[in-house]
Amino acid sequence: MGRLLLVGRLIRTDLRHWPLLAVLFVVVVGVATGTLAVGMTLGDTTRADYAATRAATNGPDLMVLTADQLPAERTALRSVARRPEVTGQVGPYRLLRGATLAAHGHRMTATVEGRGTAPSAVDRPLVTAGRWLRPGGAVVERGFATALHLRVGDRITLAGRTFPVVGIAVTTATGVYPGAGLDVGPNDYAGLVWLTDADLRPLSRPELRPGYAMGLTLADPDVKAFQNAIRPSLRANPDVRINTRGRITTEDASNRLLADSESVLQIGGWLLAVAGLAGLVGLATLRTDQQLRRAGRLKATGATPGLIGTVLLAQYLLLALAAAAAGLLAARLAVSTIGHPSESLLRAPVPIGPGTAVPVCALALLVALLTSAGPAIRVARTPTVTAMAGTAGRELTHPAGLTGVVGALPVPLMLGLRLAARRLRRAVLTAAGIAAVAAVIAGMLCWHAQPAASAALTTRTEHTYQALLAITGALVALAALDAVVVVWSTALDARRTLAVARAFGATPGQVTAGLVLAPLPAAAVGAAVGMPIGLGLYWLVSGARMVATPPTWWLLAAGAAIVAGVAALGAIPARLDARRPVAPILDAETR
Amino acid sequence: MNAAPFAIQARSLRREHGEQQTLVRAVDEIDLDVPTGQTLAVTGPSGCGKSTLLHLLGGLERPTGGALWLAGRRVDGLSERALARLRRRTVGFVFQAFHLVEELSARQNVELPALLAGASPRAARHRAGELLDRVGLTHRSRHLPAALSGGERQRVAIARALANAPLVVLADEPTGNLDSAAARDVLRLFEELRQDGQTLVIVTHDDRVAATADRLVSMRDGAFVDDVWLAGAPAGPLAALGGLATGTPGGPTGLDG
Ligand SMILES: Nc1ncnc2c1ncn2[C@@H]1O[C@H](COP(=O)(O)OP(=O)(O)O)[C@@H](O)[C@H]1O
Ligand SMILES: [Mg+2]
Repeated sequence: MGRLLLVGRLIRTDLRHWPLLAVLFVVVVGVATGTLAVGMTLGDTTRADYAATRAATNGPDLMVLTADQLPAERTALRSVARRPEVTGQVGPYRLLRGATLAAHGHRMTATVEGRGTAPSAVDRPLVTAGRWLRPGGAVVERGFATALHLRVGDRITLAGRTFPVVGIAVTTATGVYPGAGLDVGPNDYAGLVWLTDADLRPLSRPELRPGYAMGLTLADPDVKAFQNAIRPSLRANPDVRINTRGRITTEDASNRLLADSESVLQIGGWLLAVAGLAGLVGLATLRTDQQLRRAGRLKATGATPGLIGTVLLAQYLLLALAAAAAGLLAARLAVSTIGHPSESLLRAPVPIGPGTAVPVCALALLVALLTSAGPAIRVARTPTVTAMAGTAGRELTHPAGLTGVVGALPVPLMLGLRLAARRLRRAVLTAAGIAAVAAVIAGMLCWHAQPAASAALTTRTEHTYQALLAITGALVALAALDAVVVVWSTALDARRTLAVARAFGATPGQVTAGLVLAPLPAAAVGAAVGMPIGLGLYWLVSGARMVATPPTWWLLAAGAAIVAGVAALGAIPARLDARRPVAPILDAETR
Repeated sequence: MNAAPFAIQARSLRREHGEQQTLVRAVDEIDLDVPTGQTLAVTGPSGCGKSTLLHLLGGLERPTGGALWLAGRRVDGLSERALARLRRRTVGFVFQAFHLVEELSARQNVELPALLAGASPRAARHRAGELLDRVGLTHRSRHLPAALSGGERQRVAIARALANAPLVVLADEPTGNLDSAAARDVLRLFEELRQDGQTLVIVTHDDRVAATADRLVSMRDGAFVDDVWLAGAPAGPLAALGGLATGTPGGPTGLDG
């Protein structure tokens, strides 16, 4: 009990003394976990939206569509509807495909359905504004209406005739807008409009490929079996050309809108964690001196190494849980705004379940462990007497041979290489962080290298692009933080070495240059490794749709820009540090 | 206080720093018996190994060789963790540089050893209150070390050292960083402890400290060169040798695990 109080007390003082570190940890890990959580939840949002809309509109299990408007086709539809497996139906009703809709000066392609004024049993579009059909009025599918900025009372021109918009409604008989048109084949950006059958008939022209449609609900959820069962009888008559579209296909078409964004965000969450790590570990080492001093004092009064390690680990675990909670909360908010990409579906609330929370917490804890394990072990292990002085564990040697080689180099290069060789872990983390940034930048370049996307993919890729853009922004911000922190912690870490160098005549300029040069080898390696990783990830996410790779010079230029950016940002703390007077540093070390 | 006749016993205690050419024998084959209740002062020039000896006696460092008993228990082979547990109850340290935990208030510093030893928060708090009162710092209990003067810090450190009523208090130049007025306060506290029968080992340059001790040991190059009993000299023929080796061969009887 007493020991628990003590651990709590020490953690509290730590958090109070290093608020910047705590806040940055929560922000960085929160962003990473939040991104991951959003990525993992997006699939559920569209599914839930679809299910909610389907339930609210009594959505059909199967849509049956004819190619023409032949009596034989209508008869065939009727016979399908009479099958015992059918529990409910709407139609057959007439429809026109590829009609031109003009509104507010825009011209769009629309599928027009001729429906009754009374709500049907199956596919009863849910009116979200205005009212359902009346003669002379049009009801516009909500996703389409949103894209056209249409409101109830606006006027639209459809195949040459003008109608007032009397209502706006949602349905699951078609996929979400764009792609809502009940057609066969790609017809992206085709929207859906309902008219009364009486209003539709005068518009009918062969170019609008008039046909019949019918929606069915089935007793057996196995839609595929039903589709297979009706196929032979439909094929018997060569005049009858009928297509069917099952619920699964429609739902899938809706879900796919966010499929790439999901992958991008999930991968992005992990990349953010990797990129954040270098900065967080760098910040954590900034306080090693203070932690060591305190550990020495605690040990002298009888604290075990275990207790010392516990204090450090526990505070990072606390921070990790706070960050995970912040991430999940942010994800909840984000998902409610960006998780419902289509107005074509109702917005269902999406609780973030354990399936998301567990991996998200795992990511946060992993970062916490990687950040704190090194310092915790070092602090716990340092002999008490050395630890009380607060500067132990810093006497680092360079790999044998390097010292000899660097002796012949110009001063800044020599200092830079010595500093780089001192801390391998820092170099690895820097390289990993830069690799993460290089990967998304390569992804962006890939994006721009693709030929103009085909219309069918545009919407999906637009969402993906926004996700990619957000991830890139966050990663670049993190990498900038890393670049500053890494040089800053190198400067603090090596302040004795650098002070000695200056005492023996190195100028502040040479020391600055050395500090700036130190992380550059790791940054260059990171950029070189990250670019191909980015291309690979892009290929994985986009599948067969990656048809071009960016020109090599783009990649080289981006890599060079990254390394130059690291150097420029590192110059800030390096310049500040190199200006500090030498004597107090040497003094402080000998105490 | 403690039933064992000797608070500390050391045989051939040795501690080396560095290797080969840079090897330093900071403590070189020292034998030492500190009877319970004795105040022992250790003096010697800078670098002669006084601090190292004190660290060894308190289990802050482990000896390179030799044997060490605290309250009759052999401790030289203990793990880092076991030594930490031992220190909580048996040893209280007072350092020249105070070494208070900077982030904790005076009272929280004094509570530390009790909390580490598993005392309840209430008990630890109560004990800390008593001790701060004893060192005359009740009114400073909520201050952080940075807000205290050197003398006040050292009195807090002494209160902290006493928190678990340790077998022995080890003090390394406790007045070394203090002005003479503050040093006098601290010395008065040590004198009180001596009169209460607290076993004390004080490393010092300060004649006044040495003057209040029961016994004065002088060190040079890691070894004792003089051992003077000012009070309570040991009985028997060995006293004539200046008390240099009072133990029986093979270590304290019946206590060697
Ligand atoms: N960690 C260490 N590494 C190397 N040498 C040390 C270390 N600690 C102490 N020494 C050396 O051991 C000798 C004794 O030191 P110390 O016990 O601090 O002496 P004193 O306290 O009497 O001034 C000195 O020569 C000192 O340089
Ligand atoms: Mg000393």
